[in-house]
Amino acid sequence: MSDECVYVMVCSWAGGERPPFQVQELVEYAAGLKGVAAAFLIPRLCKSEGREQARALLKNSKANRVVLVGCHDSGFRAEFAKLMEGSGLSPYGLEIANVRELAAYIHPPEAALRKAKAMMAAAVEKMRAWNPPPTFLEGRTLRRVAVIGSGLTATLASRELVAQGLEVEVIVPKNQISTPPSYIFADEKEMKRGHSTLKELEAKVKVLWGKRVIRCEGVPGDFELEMESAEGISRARYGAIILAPEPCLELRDLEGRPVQESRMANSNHISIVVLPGGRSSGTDCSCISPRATLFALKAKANASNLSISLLGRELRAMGKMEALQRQAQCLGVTFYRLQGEVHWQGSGPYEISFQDSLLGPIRLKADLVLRDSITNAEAEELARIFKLPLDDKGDILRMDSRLRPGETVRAGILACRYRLGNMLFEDLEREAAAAAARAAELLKGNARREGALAQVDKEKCSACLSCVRICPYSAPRIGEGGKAEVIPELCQGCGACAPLCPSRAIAMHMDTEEQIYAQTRALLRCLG
Amino acid sequence: MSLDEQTSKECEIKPLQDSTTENVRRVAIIGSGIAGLCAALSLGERGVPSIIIEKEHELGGLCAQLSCKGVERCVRCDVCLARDKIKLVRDSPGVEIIKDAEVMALEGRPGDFILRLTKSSQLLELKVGAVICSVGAIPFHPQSDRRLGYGEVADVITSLEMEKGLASSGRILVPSTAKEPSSLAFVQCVGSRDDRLRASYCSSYCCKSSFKLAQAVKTRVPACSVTFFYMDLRLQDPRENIRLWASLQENVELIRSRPSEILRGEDGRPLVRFVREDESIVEERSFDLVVLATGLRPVTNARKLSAALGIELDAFGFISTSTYDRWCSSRAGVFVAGSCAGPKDIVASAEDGAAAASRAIALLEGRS
Repeated sequence: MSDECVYVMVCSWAGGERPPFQVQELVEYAAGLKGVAAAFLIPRLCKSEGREQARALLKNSKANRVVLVGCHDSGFRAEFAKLMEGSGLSPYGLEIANVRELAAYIHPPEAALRKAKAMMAAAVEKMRAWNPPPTFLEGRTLRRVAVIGSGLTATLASRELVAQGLEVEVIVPKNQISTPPSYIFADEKEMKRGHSTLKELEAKVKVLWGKRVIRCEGVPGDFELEMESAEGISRARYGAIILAPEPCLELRDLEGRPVQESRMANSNHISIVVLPGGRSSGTDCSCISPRATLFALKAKANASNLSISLLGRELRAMGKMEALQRQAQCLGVTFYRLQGEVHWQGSGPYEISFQDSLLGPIRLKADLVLRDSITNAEAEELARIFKLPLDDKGDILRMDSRLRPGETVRAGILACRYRLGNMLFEDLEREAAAAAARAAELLKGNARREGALAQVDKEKCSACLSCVRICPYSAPRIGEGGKAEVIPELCQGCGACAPLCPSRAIAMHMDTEEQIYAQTRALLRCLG
Repeated sequence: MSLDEQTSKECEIKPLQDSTTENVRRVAIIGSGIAGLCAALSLGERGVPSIIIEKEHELGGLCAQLSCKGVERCVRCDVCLARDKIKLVRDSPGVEIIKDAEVMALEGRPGDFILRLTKSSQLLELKVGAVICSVGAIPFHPQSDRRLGYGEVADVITSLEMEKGLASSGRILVPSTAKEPSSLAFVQCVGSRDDRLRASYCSSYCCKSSFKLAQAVKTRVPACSVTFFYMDLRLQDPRENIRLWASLQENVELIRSRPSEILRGEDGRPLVRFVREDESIVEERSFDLVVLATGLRPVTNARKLSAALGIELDAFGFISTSTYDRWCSSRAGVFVAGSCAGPKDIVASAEDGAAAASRAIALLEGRS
């Protein structure tokens, strides 16, 4: 136990509600507890005025740990921890006692006060037993980024990274970059921009052709990728990694072959029907997508004798792409609002039958039937190698839930998502730009690593590998000496390993056994 | 610094010392909505100071007025995240904020601009190296579409009004009775996909947003029936499935129709007159509450702003972006992010902010 100096801050509940008991009593009680250097009553800790007061009290004080007494955590913890950090305290030295919801709201006043005091005493004891974990390790930060992908998205991402002053290597599993179809570009200018980016790729960055990543280890700022190719195994180190698996953006025929745009301009008369992707496809399965509409537009513009019909239940085109359908209709493309399933017979020419919601049953003859689906086999493989979860549509899971563009569950590894919005060039560009921006942010200066949240006591470790197997972040490994050790930079503090260890060799730096015992003893003492 | 000095996040304009490089290492961000906030944070993470100029007295733009729509579980409406960005920006040492200020003129060259503002009839000058325009968009005024009865028929509200009500009281109430509704209708594409109103674009966020509002309604008022009048379902994220959700609920109906009129019914409740896509009969149905999902429009002072900054607008009045780069305006050194360039949702606006910040940095560091 270090020389603990606990500050207790009681939120005064100001703002509409009246507490059922006198909060001042809590403050006085706190001030009398062992280890508490000072206790304060602060109005509205969750608002900026309260925070500023707290900040002023902590700065230049002797406090090295804090107990907040108020309401529930809900995101406030992270903010307050940052505030503590800014005032020179460890951000981990914080405990919040939710006396509002766990005492005041559910018990009659006298019982509520008694419970609140007990909760506060328990929190103080818990913090007295706390030891600051080692944090903020400085490590190497390589200002080099690996972009993995074989198409336009990877190229766009590398262009963005170069503009941010970073060194880029593009790792392409194939021997060439796949050219995107013309119908992901909304207009000529976009197409020119896309193609010139592709052409300039090798002039701007180093490209590793025909290499496949088979292993990724290391930490943000210093990853090591192991790659295999026809020439054998090679390794390289990077500060951050951007996964840009290229979806197959072409419409495909019923045998799954991507359609050749040139083929259509050359024939005498072709009638084409484009079906929505279907349930197993990667797109919104039942819609006429902007891609399909652009395909029809361009095909019709190149060969006016083509007859093109688009089938779908919804007509999708967000933003300014809305005008596409009108343009296509003016060129003679037919849109059918599909109800139910589509059936076809034959093997080219085909006979298509379906129900249109206004016109009733329809029969069409088609020389060529295409499906509008997006698949991305590359995403699945990359997810496997980089140990990333996939979402339920088969895309690499991104932390959209935190509004952190580009991030995946692994720090330092970013991903471009393709299944969103209009699924056109615009969306690929935005994804690439966002991922590259995040990479540039991560590699600015030295990567700050917060860590050492789980630690193995080597004396107790029996090298059973349970922790190695369970960890989602690949943080534990068997080190020299045959015992497990947790790589601090990778540990995210999730706590999955600690209760699992049969030898009870893993301690979390937060909520240690000692702390929990101290907390429980205090509770029992107060309530007993 | 005393507590008073610390408390105020508004800055006094400090004169910038002349940097040794040619470019002024500071970016002005016009508008504190989600795009502007994310741009400021992205710049801050890369060590570039920024100054946010906000016309109103509150930060956060449109997002700050929206409500969390999850109840038992998160529905991924992103509103809490947008609000978190406001807090992060306030705590960011590299970001200065000027509120109640309007941009008057921009002079100079990329890397060395002078941005002139007015704030409470005071003229201010800022030296900045680059400008990011992220003034956002405003909801369509439904009074402009008289057929929908807004302002004339009681209990016809906009989706934004519903959001504000949810945010402040946590409840969904019919304005004239102050009780929870037993029947509610969403009318989509109000002020979007409409040539008459010179808004032939799709506003992009409203199907998704109304779906989440509908989920909030069914969770908070389970007995309320919900009718969804839509043209096309554009939920953005293929993981969202409104048809599946509707099929699992009691009393949720999805009707593909663009209602022709909303009238005051005989019982005083709003009456929606519509035709279903496959029938030629005109139907009329009354609801306790009708919610108009209003689309996005350019901000009211768009022309003034474009003149002040020397940038062009497109045919709809949104800020025109260069053919060479989606986040550059027509003027070098002035970048664009968010829905001021065209309607988009919160996630896309956040990504735009990061992309615009990248371009500003490339400019300042001589790489563009």
